[in-house]
Amino acid sequence: MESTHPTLSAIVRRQKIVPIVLFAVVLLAFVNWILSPDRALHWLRVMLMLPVLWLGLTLWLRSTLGSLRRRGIEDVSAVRRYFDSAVSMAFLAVGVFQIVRLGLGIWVSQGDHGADLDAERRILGLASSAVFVIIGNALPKTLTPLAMLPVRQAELVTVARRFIGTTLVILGLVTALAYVSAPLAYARTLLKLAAGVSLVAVLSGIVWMNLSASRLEG
Amino acid sequence: MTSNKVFKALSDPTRRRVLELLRDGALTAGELSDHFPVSKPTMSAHFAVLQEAGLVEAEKDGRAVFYRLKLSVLEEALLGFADALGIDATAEGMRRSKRARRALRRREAS
Repeated sequence: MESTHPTLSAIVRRQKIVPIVLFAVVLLAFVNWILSPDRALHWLRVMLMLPVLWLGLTLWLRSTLGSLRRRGIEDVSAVRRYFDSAVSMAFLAVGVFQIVRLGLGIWVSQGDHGADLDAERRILGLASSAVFVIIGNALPKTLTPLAMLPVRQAELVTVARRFIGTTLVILGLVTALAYVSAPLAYARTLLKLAAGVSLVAVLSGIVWMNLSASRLEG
Repeated sequence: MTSNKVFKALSDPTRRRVLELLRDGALTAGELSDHFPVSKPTMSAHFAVLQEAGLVEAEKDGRAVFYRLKLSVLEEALLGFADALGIDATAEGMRRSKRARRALRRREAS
């Protein structure tokens, strides 16, 4: 039943991008720590962010698999694929952004780049916009497995994801355009708007999924 | 190339219609086939092309196999373009457009 189409997440897994991203972020954060030891706590937070994200997603997978087994569902391969996609996409998005940010941090700390701070902020803004476009584009392609939700509810989730995905792609493109051509203040406002929309989307998605799952178990 | 498979899948009006039907929700192969006056093997071939391109996913739920839409935002936009332009790259569609071009040339020459 599995599609033969090599999805982005499958490519990411196959090429072992997740550990590479993890290693690169930790290494770059460590170099930043050495260069600016006064912000030690901040660099420690950056180093721990991805491992904590990975741990959270793994625990979520374990609890979901347990709940499915309690409901007598043995074939959980689709659910595993779904979580693999979520982990890869989250790592790719957060990782790429962090690598750009930490790399720029090292570059700035290596001399007097006062005049280039504007360019640094614009590059960082473009990286953030790219993350929104990548995630927004891929979001509707991640289908909730039918083992987790009944067909009708799973399709409702897909419709919501399609709407959120389209909104994120448009916001990402507009933000990228603003970071290239508009004053930084406007671009930052747009970026905050995009971040707000994604946060609301993610939180409402988690609440909806949990409510549906508990209704099914009840 | 995956993009070639996506373009090939979207170039056929029947397959585009399948994607539009799936926009309203998951459907079984039988429910989808009811909308088209073609044989089951032909429909199966269309489903295979769509699955190969990663535009739909078939998943078992109980005894039924449901087809579900799996379009990224970019693929959705491509589908919209293909529909708006009325692209028909099937053999019959190509013949029709060739005939139309010849008729236009004749009209211009006369």
